[in-house]
Amino acid sequence: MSQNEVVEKKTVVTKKDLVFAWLKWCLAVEVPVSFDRMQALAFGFSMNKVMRKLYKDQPEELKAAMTRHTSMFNTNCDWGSIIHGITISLEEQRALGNSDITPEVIQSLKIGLMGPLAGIGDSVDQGIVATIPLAIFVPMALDGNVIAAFMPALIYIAWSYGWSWFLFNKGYNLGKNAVLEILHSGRIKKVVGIFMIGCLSASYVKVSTILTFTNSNATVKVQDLINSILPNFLPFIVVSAMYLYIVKRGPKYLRLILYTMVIAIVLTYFKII
Amino acid sequence: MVVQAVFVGLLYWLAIGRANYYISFAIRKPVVMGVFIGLIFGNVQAGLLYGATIQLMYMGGIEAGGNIPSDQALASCIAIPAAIINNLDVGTAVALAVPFGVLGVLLNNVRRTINSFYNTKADQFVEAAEYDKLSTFSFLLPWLTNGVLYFTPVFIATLFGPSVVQSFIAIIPNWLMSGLTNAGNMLPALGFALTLVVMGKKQYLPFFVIGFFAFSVLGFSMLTGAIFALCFAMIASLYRLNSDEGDAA
Repeated sequence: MSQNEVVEKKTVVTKKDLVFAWLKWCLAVEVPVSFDRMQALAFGFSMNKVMRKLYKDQPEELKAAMTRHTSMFNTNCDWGSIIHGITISLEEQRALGNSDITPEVIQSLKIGLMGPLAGIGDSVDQGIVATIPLAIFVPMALDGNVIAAFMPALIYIAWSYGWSWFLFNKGYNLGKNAVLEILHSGRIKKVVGIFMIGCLSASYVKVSTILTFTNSNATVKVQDLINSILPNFLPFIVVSAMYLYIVKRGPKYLRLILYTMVIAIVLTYFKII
Repeated sequence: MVVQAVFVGLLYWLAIGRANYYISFAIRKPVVMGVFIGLIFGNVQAGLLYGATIQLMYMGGIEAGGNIPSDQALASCIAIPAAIINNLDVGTAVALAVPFGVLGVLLNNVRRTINSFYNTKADQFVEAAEYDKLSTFSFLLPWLTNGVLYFTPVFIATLFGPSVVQSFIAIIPNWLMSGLTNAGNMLPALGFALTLVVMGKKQYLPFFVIGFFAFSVLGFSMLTGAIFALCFAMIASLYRLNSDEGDAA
């Protein structure tokens, strides 16, 4: 612990760096979203300058950091900001020589947090903050009140910027202090991360077949059959197949994306999915 | 008319291009879009009335994981100008809005497919340590590409009327549209598989399998999932494998 305390006192990241990283996240978050890595590039966009500052004398470390921050990421835009704060502080400690903080720890933390925060955040933001003001002000707008038309938008903007910055900052301070102790057990983080990938991929990856077999007295839906044997079996096959492909053939993403699209379109054409 | 069509096209891009997401999310509501479109056509009150009425259709609806159930902004940007120009009654405007809300979902799928290309470019730039280019390809270029994708249909629909866009959509075969949607539903697998490869030594894969099927069967919230995960991890840390030496980091 004493080693950590020494490290803690040194910081490289300034308030200004934090503000810019946060603003860039808010600016980019949903823009480069893709099917395969979701908000990955927005996360990298936010981290870009900070990482270059932290690892300015360690080009290999910088490359590794940017690789992990352009990998799959998806969360709620404002609630998820706490992840950026924590990530920056962990990367800072790592750059300053705290070898307890391994790449796996940082990755696992991102993956462990992004799902739960997306769940809470989407429900609160869109279920409450965006919806209730609409219910109040839209009837007034129907009566021709222009200001009422803007009120739900203003409330939403004020809430998300305020909450997002608060959490971003909170995350940075958390990462600097309390979380370090938990991080000593890298294995815990890894298990949490990998378990969460399981949950997340079961929730995001969707494939089902529309095949049916008809004989003289009954129609059998193949998907119902699959569900009764092993639910979500087809998505599991898809994730496993991609995993095996990457392990065996190396990371050829563009090819994998093309294969997936062709297969999906062909299967759709033949009315299989 | 061209000028107005340009403005509506740009407005749609600003609303759904998602730069500064909090703002774009807030203004892409039909009730707000109605006021802006009303301004463009010099009739704020009409725009507001159409917008607020279309809004009534879209009061709830959570866009989980960035999947929009329907594109309210496209519905507004096509139905409201047509309604103002042709002085349609409110019900007709709403009926016109609905199919375009669905079309917007397709545009979003196309956008996310195109963006995959920027991922592969990003990998190249990281490999070559060109971090400024990485930045450009992470925000500015995807945003401009979205601009072309989003501006065009709205511009055409405002200029020539929504029926032109509708007949264009009719040409695209149904299997292709749903094929792309199906591909989009499968592609997240790639990101997760990749993360698994990067993070997991093989002996950790059972935790992936448990997480996957536990969620499939029980369908709990992600926070519940995290609690399970933490407990599994703590149980796992009670046991120490010989092969695990040096892996604790």
